Amino acid sequence: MKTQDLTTRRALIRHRGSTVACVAIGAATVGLVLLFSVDPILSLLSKSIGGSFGRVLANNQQIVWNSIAAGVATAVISTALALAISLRVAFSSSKLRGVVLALVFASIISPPFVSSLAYVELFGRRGLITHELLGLSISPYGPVGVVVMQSVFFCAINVLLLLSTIRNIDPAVLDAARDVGASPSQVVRRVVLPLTWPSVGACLLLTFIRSLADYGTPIVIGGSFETISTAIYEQVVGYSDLATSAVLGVLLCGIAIIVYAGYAVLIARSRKRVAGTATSAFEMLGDRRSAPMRLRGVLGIVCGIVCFAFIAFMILQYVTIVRASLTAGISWKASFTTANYDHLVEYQATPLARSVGFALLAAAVATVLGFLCAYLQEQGRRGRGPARKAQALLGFAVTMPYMLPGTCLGLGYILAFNAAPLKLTGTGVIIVLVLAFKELAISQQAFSNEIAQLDPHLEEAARDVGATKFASALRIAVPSVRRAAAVSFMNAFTSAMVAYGAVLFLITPSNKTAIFELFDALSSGKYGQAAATSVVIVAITLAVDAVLGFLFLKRRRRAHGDD
Amino acid sequence: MTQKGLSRRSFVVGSASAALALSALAVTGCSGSGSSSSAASSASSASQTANKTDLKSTSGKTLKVICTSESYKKLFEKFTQDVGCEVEFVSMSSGEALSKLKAEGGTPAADLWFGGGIDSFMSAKDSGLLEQVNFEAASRFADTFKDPDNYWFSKGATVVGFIVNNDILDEIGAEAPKSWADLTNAAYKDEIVMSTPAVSGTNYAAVDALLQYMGEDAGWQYFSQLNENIPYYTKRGSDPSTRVSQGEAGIGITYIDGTLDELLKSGELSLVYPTEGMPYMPDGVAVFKNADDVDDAKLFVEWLFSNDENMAYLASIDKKSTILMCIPDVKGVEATFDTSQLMKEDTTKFGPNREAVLAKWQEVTAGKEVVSS
Repeated sequence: MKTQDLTTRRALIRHRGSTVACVAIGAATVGLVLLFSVDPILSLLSKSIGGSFGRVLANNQQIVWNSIAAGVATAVISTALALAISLRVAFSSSKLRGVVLALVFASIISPPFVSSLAYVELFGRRGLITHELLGLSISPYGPVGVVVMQSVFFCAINVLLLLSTIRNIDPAVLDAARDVGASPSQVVRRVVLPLTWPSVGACLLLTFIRSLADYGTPIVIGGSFETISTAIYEQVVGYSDLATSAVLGVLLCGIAIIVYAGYAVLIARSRKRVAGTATSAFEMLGDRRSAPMRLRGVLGIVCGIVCFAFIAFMILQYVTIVRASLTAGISWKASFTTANYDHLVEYQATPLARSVGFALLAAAVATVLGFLCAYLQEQGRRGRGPARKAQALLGFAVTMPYMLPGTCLGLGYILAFNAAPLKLTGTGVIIVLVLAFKELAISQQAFSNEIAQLDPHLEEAARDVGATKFASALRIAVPSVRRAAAVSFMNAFTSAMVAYGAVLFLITPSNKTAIFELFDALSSGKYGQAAATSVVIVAITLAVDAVLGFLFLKRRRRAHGDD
Repeated sequence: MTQKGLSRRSFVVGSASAALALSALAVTGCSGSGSSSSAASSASSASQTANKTDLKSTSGKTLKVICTSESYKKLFEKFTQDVGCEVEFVSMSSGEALSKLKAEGGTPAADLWFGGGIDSFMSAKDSGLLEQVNFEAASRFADTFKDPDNYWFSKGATVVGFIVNNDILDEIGAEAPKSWADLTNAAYKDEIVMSTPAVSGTNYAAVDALLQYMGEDAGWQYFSQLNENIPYYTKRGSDPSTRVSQGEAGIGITYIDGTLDELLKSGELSLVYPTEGMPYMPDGVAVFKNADDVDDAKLFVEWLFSNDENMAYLASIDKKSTILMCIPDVKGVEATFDTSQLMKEDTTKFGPNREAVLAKWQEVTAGKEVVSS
């Protein structure tokens, strides 16, 4: 009797201690999100109050429409291309899938700007294709160039999402349709497409937001076509007018929030999230299932043409970039040299190493916090009214930095953390934090997907047999989210390697990173050096992701064996 | 073609590295080229008694520099060697640096600002972001090449001219322009690339200097005519030269210095020094107020400007002799161009004029330069 009493009391104390630990960790997580997701945005908002919204809006109607028009066109074209490619690839050999996935992967980890330069070299007035082959002499600058390049650039990420959606359709459903005599095109139209529409919608909306925030493409090939993002750049660099930049940033953010709300509704319907670009590429590479059917007819031909045009365009683009990294001048006649790589070794070795270090740290922070946020949210979802509302607010707070254009987020960070009590400007810490919190939304989504699928009774059962709240979270939730952790880590690492706008204001002489050096080389017209840095960034990111991916895939296979 | 010959020899800058690159051309001989090879040797043999060499850093800190080019690495290494202070640097445009400085709210993450259009330095001084640096050699500067109260100093100047692509001009059947006035010729419609003066310090100098040269009214009339020939204004100072060398346009209004050598190798391109004169933008150096290592930053300013050998070394890195405009009696730097090629301009007006000039600029170029403020 006595011993039993003692055990109960001990257990009680243990539980109480564990609850305190849980509450403390929960509070710390919320505190960090408030500090590093919400506070910088509030700082930006308060700065924008210094600028006159009415005047800025009145003067910028044209560029707002430009941004929206380019965004809509890019979203539609990019999604349509991605859908055609995904259909072709989903119903084909695994070899073609490998090629397309490899190119898609390379495209996602490529720094921006550089592909636009390749576009000018290929299709410009003295471009290889337009001038040397076709004998044309046309200017590539303007809205068409912007839409073309953005469509191709964002196509990659859309292919990943759509392909995984299509591959996830139960093959038995397709077989059943075939058995009752439907042709492949009928199967696509009646079965595959209806199941894919929510993902197509998500692609459209996310591409629109990405197009709005992208300023690298319009600044290189936009010509007189200006967008909100390029106007922000000009205000910052040309006029040092932070108030007007902040107003434009808030405007951009407003449009993004409205569109994102639409996306959230679609996602809630399909329960399929756009997360883990890098990992899903690796996973799909490991997916050896054969296609349930082949495409035929007009649909097959159209999808095939689009798919192979995409492959050709991407290969041409990468050949151009690699070639540019090995030449002295800018034109096609420039002579071969290794000077750009010599320069890279002399000047960029430290920034490159630092980039990798920062990106790994940022990925670790995003992954740990992403898990904690997702766990808190799931707890909130299961709770009563106020808890549910709190979790929704947490989700929104985490998503904000992801939607904001990088330059605006960076501006918010420098405004929020330039003075005591929390003076972080000038340190590497602020760079790691901005990179981590920018991608926190993706990490949190990845974890949410997995945690939501956990049976809540599992944790309750663990607690019934005496596990503390802390231990049950640790033993039940943590191991089952290994896949999400890989998704989160690889995504955050990859984005951190190529995110430019967010760190623009935070770079100091002591902590310059490779992507910053790349942009500086581009701005100074040293295209060869920029291309060389770009090639090396892609190679390093690819290598790190490959190591992570293969480690993760191996573990997956073993897990399957256990089943 | 004559322009090409003239330009290469009369202006592109004599100094050690440039002399090597130009040695082939130097054979043909002209005003500056013969003497350019002597620049480095006379620099190293210079042993002026006035030169200060006893500066030593005692802070134990690292000097953090925002500069306009990585090529200054060698100069910073020399500073470390001489003075014993480590240097870290990052290269960014003066507009970026100024915005960053303003957003940092008076707690700059760098100590020294090395290079960039003087208009940004004037604006930074007015916003109270710079530190006064008083030192003996400050009296050596020519008027208008340092701040009257010693808040900034000039280490040279960036001059503005044209770069032309002869292949493209052949294609449209036009001659290369010789003067600013030529640029409004209808034959050049949509063939001229210019950066917006808001972003490019050198192009700001061009606009302000031409307004001073022509007078306000005639000047704005000129720019509205020029606007007819310019399809759009680019957002980066390097765009005019890179786009012209890529064959995307026939004529670029650009800074001219040794860094263009690489582009000029292709042979299709030439430089033009407009007959009315070349506008120029003094290139600034300043110490940030409230910086972590103000002492070493001041030491750097004194180290550089109190020793001719250091300035000659800087001139060899910059591949230009414009330091002579700032401190005319520097030994070991050979003048490689005639200052009469420069446009007469009052650079002290650049700071005070800037806001009004850019506002009017947006009005005149409306539709191509979208008003965004």
